[in-house]
Formats: sequence, C-alpha cells, structure tokens
Amino acid sequence: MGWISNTLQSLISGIAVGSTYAIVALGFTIIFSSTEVVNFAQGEFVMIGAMISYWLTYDDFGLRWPLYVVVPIAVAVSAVVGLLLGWVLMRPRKDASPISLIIITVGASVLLQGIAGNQWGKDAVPVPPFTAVDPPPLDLGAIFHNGSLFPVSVQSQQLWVMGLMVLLVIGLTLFFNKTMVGKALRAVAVNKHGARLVGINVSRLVMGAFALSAAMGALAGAAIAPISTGNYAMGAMMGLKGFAAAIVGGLGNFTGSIVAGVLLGVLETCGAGFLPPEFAQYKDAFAFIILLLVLFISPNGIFALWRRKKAVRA
Amino acid sequence: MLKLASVVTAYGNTEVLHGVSLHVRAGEVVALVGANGAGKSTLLNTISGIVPARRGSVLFDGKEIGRAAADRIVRLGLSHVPEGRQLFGPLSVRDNLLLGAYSRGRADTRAHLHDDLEHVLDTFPRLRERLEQRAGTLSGGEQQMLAIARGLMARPKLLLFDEPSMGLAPRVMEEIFRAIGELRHQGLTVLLVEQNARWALRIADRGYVLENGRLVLDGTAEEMLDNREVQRAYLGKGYREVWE
Ligand SMILES: Nc1ncnc2c1ncn2[C@@H]1O[C@H](COP(=O)(O)OP(=O)(O)OP(=O)(O)O)[C@@H](O)[C@H]1O
Ligand SMILES: [Mg+2]
Repeated sequence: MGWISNTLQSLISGIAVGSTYAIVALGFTIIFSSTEVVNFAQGEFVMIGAMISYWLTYDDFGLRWPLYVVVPIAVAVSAVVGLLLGWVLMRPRKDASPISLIIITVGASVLLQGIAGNQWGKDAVPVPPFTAVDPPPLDLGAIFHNGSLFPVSVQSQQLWVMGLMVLLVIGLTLFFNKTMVGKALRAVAVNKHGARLVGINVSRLVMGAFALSAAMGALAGAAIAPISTGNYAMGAMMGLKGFAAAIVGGLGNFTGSIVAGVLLGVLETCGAGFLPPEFAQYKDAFAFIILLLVLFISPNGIFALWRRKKAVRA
Repeated sequence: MLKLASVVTAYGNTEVLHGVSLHVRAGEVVALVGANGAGKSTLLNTISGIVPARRGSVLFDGKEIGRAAADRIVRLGLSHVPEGRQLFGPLSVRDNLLLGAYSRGRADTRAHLHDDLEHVLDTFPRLRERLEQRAGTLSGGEQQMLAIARGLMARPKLLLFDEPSMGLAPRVMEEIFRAIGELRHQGLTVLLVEQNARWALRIADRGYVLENGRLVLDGTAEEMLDNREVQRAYLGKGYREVWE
C-alpha cells in the first residue's frame, strides 16, 4: 500500500506547487488581457517575494522581523517594482508594438535577477514557514478502516499555499465582478478605445494591473519559498512554468490559468515520482513537454478544445 | 460652449484636418456632414481627446482641451458616442451603463447613479428588459441605444454622435432620432455626424459640410437643405438638373 501513500503525498505537494504556478499564470493573464504584453518579468516578482522574506528574517544585522511584517513588506516592494515596470511600459508612444514592450519585460527580468544576485548571492537561501507546527499526519485509511492504511503527512506551509491561492482567486473574482475598478480593468481588456471614451485613464489602470500581478507573484514567492527554498534565479523557472500554465489554460483565460497551473504542478510532482533517480533533473522539462503536447492538440489551450466541442454540440 | 479654431490633426505624417474652425452654442444641435474619409470621425476624436490636435485650439466651456487627455475631457462634461459603438461586449448591459458613469468617480452617490440609470432606461425602454444580457449579444439597434445611453451616464453637457444611424433599419433609426430629439428638449447640446444628411439636418439647428479635411460650407439647417451643392452631394436630390 506504500504506493498509494506516495501518490497522495505527491498529489498534495503537486497541488501546493501548482498553486503558485496558478498565481503566476493569473499574473500573466491579467497583464496580457489588458495590454497584449506577455510580461516575462512575472517570475521575478516571485523571486522578490521569496528573497525579501529571507532577507528580513535571516539578515546579518540581527533584524529578525516576524513574518506577518515581512511578507506584507515583500508584497509591497514587489508591487512598487511592478508599478514602475508598468510605468516604463506605458511611456513609449502608444503605437509601440507589443513585441518591443515584451523585450522591455525581458530586459527588466535580467536586470532584477542581476540586482538580486548581487544583493543576496547565488546560493539557495532558507525562508521560514508561516507557522512552525505541522499538522499531525493525516490518515485517510483511518476514515474507512481502523488502522493506518495510507498515512500522508501534510506540511502546514503546503496548506498555507493552497489556502492563499483559494483566497486570492475568490478575491480576484470579487474584484473583477463587483468593484468599479475591476470592471474598468475588464473594460480596458475588451475595448481600450471604448474605455478611453468613458473616461477611464487606461495607462493608470494598466499600471495598477502591473502592481496587482506583482503583488500576487510576491505573495506566491513568500509562500512557496519555505518549501522550495529561495534563490536569486528562481524567477526564470517560475516565470516559465507560470507562462506554460497560462498558455495551456488559453492565454487570457482566468479559469484556464488556475486549472492549468495546478495541473502542471501535480503532473510534474507525480511525474518525478515515476522517473528513475538518474533522470530526476528532467522534472522541470515536464512542464514543457505538456505545454508542447497541448499546443499540438489545441493551439488555443485546453479550454479552447472544450469550448469547440461545446460549440459543435450546440 | 464648444469652439474650434484652425484645428490641424494628423496621423503620423498624414494630415487629415487642415485647419477646421467651428462652434456649437449651448442648447444647439449642430450637424456635420461629409463624404467617407472627409475626416468627420477624426474631428470628433480630436474634440474628445482620443487623437490630440497638432495645432489650433479647442475650447470647451472656456477651457482649452486641444491636447488634454480623454479622461479629463469626459470629466469636464463631454461625451462621445463613437462610430462602431465601442461597447464592452462580454460585460452586461448594466455594467456598460455603470462604466459610462466611471468618470463621475466615487464623489457621486449611489442614489444619483441609480436615478440616472432609471432615467436612461426610461429613454430606452428596450434596454431595461436586457440589463443582465451581455452587450455583445444585443441587436445592432439596441447596441446603438446602449452606446448613447452609456454616453448619457457621464451626465454630459455636450454629446458628440458619430453616425448613430449606421447599419440600422429605418424604423430603428427613427427611434434613435426621436431619442436625440428628446435629449435636446432636456437641454443637451449635440454635435451630430451623419451620413444621412437629410435626417441630420431635419433635427439640427445648423450644419457644416466637411470636405477633405476642410469646412466648405455652413449655415442654418434650412439653408443647407435648400442649398444646391448640399442637395447634389449629400441629399441625392436634383441629380438630373445638374447634368442636364
Ligand atoms: N487611426 C488612423 N490612422 C491613420 N489614418 C487614419 C486613422 N483614422 C483615420 N485615418 C484616415 O483619416 C482620413 C479621415 O478618416 P475619418 O475616419 O475621420 O473619416 P470620416 O469622415 O469619419 O469617414 P466615414 O464617413 O467613412 O466614417 C481617412 O483618409 C482615413 O484613412
Ligand atoms: Mg467616420
């Protein structure tokens, strides 16, 4: 029965990691739908969240600030960086092509990584979990059977990551459907010209969108780093995985990004469990194999395939 | 209320408006007619700040807005109901209307917003039944009504209309023009661009003719309707007389 335990274990860590991919994918989605720009610096916000959490908790000056202070600071710093990036992107003439703006985001990514490497070094760093105590091992078997059938231990940090993702999704849904600013952001996404006509300041709103997605990324980074450790270069892989999830979900599709992000995390973790140890380093390639497969079958993401079927039936 | 002096507008290196001067007084309905590509939409876009004026001045309520940002111009009380409607298709009719009031900001109370919503829905009762429907699923006529209603939600002093009758059946067009007539009774000032010059001049006080980026004619609506040039080029009348 060991394999059931192992699978459940992988499933839980997969969902946790996948939750962060989902958040990063949502960041891509928010920016892409309001600007047609793929923000390749998206992953760096995750890095900023992780590294600032490390820096302020384990620093050399003996400043051991509690996490409930540190995480909000990390999120705020990242939001400011996002705001600046949005501001820079809104500066060029309005007719600048998305491609040239995307290149600016690549540049920003390289720059942020350079600064981080300089500031915090190249080694992996530890980040403390939000809460020190892990829940007791869960035994699903005990529910049906008195005895220890499939013991699974869950880290409290994994629960934090999943919980934050759920809260974030609920918050974003309310924001985009119930608040005027959220609706204005959707208006910008569907019709920029119309948005300007009703008096929406499009560039200001887009800068706000950058700040929002940067804050989300940092929160994901601060939450996942206690599990995966932090590293100045972690943004690149996080960005690529989040991007893969956003594409698989159908770029610009909110629900698609979430589902694809979680799915990617699960497939990756479970996949790694089946790989022989000498291939363990190919774990990261998993995401891209899946990305390629999906793009072969349905170039507009998994949800496009589903929608097309529905359209045919209707 | 609105005064343009020698306005020049260009897209890149292509100058489209070559020094346009016109004015609209408070309470007036002014029609602007012209052939395709004359620059009518460009003129309206310049006034509403979508395209900046290269040279010249645009005064609205005594304030220079020739190079002001579009959102500021809306806040000053100028609404533009654009060519092609530019609605937010996936959003509901209600959300489109509420976004029309976006420029009024939080300073305005919910009660005011609700009253205004009721008011535009009274003007366009067809929208009331479709409040929760997606704007993109409305018929062409309903979309045009929504575009006008959304423009009204900003509580404008001056409304710019760009071809409100485009693509509409005569009966729907009549409904739209009846609504525009009603707005003028409520004291709104209107600048109306229309392909259908006969309709436009029927509800307008005065008119201008724009040709290749220049105003070539202006006068009262009656004068324009009687003018042979206007009749020939824009009313499709007296075609024969000219050729015989
Ligand atoms: N965004 C743009 N970029 C470049 N050129 C433009 C742009 N918009 C309009 N033009 C050009 O400016 C000229 C005037 O266009 P405009 O849309 O103002 O004409 P119009 O009088 O509204 O015509 P229509 O009756 O067909 O709506 C046209 O030659 C058009 O090609
Ligand atoms: Mg036009």
